[in-house]
Amino acid sequence: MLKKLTAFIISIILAVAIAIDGYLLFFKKADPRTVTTQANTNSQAVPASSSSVSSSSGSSTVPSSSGAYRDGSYTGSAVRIRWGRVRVRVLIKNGKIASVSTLEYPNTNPHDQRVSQIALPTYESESVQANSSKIQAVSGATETWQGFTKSLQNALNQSKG
Amino acid sequence: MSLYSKQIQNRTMLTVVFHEMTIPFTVQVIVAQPLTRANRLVLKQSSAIHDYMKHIDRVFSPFREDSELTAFNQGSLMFENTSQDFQTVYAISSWAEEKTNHLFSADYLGTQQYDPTGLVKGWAIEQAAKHFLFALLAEDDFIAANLIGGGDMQFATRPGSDWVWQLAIADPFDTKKIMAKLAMTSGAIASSGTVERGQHLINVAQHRAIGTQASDIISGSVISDSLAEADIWATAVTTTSISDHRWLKELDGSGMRISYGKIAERWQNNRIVDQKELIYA
Repeated sequence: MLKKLTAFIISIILAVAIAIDGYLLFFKKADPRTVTTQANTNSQAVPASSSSVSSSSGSSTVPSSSGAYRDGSYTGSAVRIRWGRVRVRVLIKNGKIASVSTLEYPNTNPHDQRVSQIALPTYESESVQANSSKIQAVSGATETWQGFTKSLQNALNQSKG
Repeated sequence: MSLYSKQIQNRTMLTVVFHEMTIPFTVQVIVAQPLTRANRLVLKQSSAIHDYMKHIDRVFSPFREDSELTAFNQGSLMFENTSQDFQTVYAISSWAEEKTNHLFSADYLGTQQYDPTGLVKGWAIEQAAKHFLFALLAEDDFIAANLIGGGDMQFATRPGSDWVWQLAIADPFDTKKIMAKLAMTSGAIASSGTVERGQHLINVAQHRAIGTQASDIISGSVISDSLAEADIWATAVTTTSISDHRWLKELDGSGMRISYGKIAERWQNNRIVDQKELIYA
């Protein structure tokens, strides 16, 4: 009987702790989508692997069952993009996305830095038809497949050089 | 899938065209000499890229009932249960919103419906180019490769080769013509604007459609080494006016913009190179 009561009390304490945790998380990130957080200022939310930052599976805390999503804080696995590694933390409150923050890991590997020469476009002295022997590709605002058959790129593709 | 072949100087350019998600894709590979083995490999990799784009559509299409994106927006798929691709794009879009000071947004019309359409194409082309196309450059006789999707491109040249891609930016007032050229070995170009689809971009940060006043941007092109980055920034710089340069200090690389009033500007290394009226456009 005493054992059962103890277990019951512990589960109540746990539930309260979880609720407080969720409340604090929400409060801390009450302003959605304006937070750029560095990894070190959020160390409590980042799993222990943050220094090595290899891809690890997402972790979640504070499960509850209201709304479309389960409330809680979901930390995605770290992904490598050109600027370094990025990990996303999504906070769900009342079944909706309350905030999204990215935890950035600066790029420390010099080999990941940009190495190519970025050219400056030069104006044509007048707007001209592309000479297919001198131009391979044309960048322009999104073209659809329907419009492609009439496009400059299609003409370049079909030309005999 | 058909393959075109033509001579450029003393090289051969192999071209494959296909479409997926209503976007036309062009695969370009420069080889030292015409070889049936090269044709076969380019067709094989083009087919792999086509399959990859079908996969991207299954994950990110806002129009498919069975996509991960739709399930996520309906609340039936938890973030923690989404795929690695989904989480990667989510991370990049949230990073991009902060970096562009919300000129770029993946929040569809402020409705909390996640819509990464503005970056998925550029990101997917970069992924596909690097995984399926640039791998060919390790082979003998393969000199350079370019993957173009709907006017955005990621290209590379084998180190030590003297090949240089000759590229152009379309004139938004007459897309049959070009208004600028550039020569580069490796990198990416993305263009954004209202020309081809005849529909307006929405500046989500301000909840308004992009206007067509003289100072509004009709077309913006960003040159970078990453197409994911170029695509995000092309969208971002197109949402501001020709006199607004708050974004400049955050944007590396180069690019150009043209306003409806035919004022063109170029920038490089975080500064404006020039701004002038295009009397001939």
